[in-house]
Amino acid sequence: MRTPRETYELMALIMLSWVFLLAFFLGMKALLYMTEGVPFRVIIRGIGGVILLGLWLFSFFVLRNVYARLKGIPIPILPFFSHTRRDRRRA
Amino acid sequence: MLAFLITYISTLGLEELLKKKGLTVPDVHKRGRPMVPMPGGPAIMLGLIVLLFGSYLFVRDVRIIGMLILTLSGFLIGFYDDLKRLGGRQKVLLLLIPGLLLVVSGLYNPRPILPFIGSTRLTIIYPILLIIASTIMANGVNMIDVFNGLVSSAMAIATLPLLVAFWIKGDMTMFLLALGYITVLAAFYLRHRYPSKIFPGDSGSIAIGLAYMGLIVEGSVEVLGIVALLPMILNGFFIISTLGGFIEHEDIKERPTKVLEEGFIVANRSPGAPLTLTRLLVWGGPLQERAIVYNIIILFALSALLSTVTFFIGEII
Repeated sequence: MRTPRETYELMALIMLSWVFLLAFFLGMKALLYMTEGVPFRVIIRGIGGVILLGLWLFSFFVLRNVYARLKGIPIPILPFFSHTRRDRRRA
Repeated sequence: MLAFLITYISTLGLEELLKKKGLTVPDVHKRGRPMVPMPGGPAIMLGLIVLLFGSYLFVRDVRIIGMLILTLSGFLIGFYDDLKRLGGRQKVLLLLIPGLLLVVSGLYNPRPILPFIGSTRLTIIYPILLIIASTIMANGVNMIDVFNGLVSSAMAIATLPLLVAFWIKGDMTMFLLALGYITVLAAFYLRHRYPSKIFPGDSGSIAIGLAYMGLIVEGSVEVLGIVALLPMILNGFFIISTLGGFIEHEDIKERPTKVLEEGFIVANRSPGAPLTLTRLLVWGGPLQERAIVYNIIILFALSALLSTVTFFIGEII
C-alpha cells in the first residue's frame, strides 16, 4: 500500500503538536511552582492556564499556516493578518 | 465476547432492515456511487449497552453508569440527526447535552492526572471542560467518518494506549471496558471495512466518540486520550478553521477531494475547499480509498505510540 510523502509530513505535524502539548504541561508546572504560596494563586493559575492553553491552540494555527504555505495549499489565513482588514484600517 | 456477537449479529440484521426500508446513502468515494445502508449506530449502541450493563451487573462500578449516560444520550441525538438531519450548529449545541448530563449526575472525578504535574483538583473548570469536550469528541469523531472502515479501526487503535495504562494502573474495570469497546468496534468493522456493507451514520460515530470519552474521563486518562486522538483533533481543527465554523457535510459547497473515473481520489485545488487530513494526504498525488485509510491509520498508530510514551513520562517524572 502506497505511503505518500505527505503521510510523513503529517506525522511530523502530529509530533510537533505533541511536543507543544508537553510544553503546555511543563508551562503549567512552572506556573504552579512560581505561584506557590502567592496570594490569589488560584486566580493567577486559572488565568495563566487559560493563556497557556490559548497558546497551545494558537500553535495549531501556526502549524496549519506554515505547512500550507510550504505545500503551496491556498487557505484563508488568520483574519488578524488579512489584507482586507489592513486595507480597511488604512482607509 | 457477548458484546462482539451481539454487535455483529445486530449489524447483519440491521443491514437487511435498512435495505428493506430504503434507508441507504450513496458511497461517494466509489465509481457508480453504490447505495449502502445507514445508520449502523443502533447495532453499535446495542453492543455497547450489553457491554456496559453486563459489566455493571458484575462489578457495580458507578463509573460505568457515567459512561452509559454519556454514550446513550449522544447516540439518541445522533440517531435523531440520522433520521431528521440537524444543522451543523444545532448538532454542536445539542451535543453539549451528554456532557451536561454527566456533570449533573456527578459521576466523574474532577482530579485529572496531568503529565509533569500529577494529580490536580479542578472542581470548577473540569465540569465546564467536560461539557465542551462532549461536543468536541462527538463532532470530531463524526468528522473522521468519511471512508470505509476508518472510524471503527481508528478508534480501536486509539484505545490501545488506554489498555496499557489501565493494565499498569491496575484498573481492571476500565481495562475490561476498554477491551470490550474494542471488541464492539471490531465486530462492526467486519461489515464496515472496505467495501462497506453498512455505514455507522451520525448515531454510530457519536456513540463511538462518546463511549471513548467515557473511557478516558471515568478512567482518569484524559491526556492520553487527547494525545491518541491528535489526528482527529488536527482534522477537526483544519476543517473548522478553513470553513469558518461548524457546517454539516451536505452543506459544504466545495468538497475537499474529487473522485476520478478510475476510483482514485485527488485533492480539490480550489482555495474554497476545506482543509482536511485527506486533502493533505492526496495533495501530492491521487490515492485509492483503501490507501487513504491505511495512511490515516498510520497517523493514529503514531499517536497511540505517543500516548503510551506520555503515560510513561507521567509515571517517571
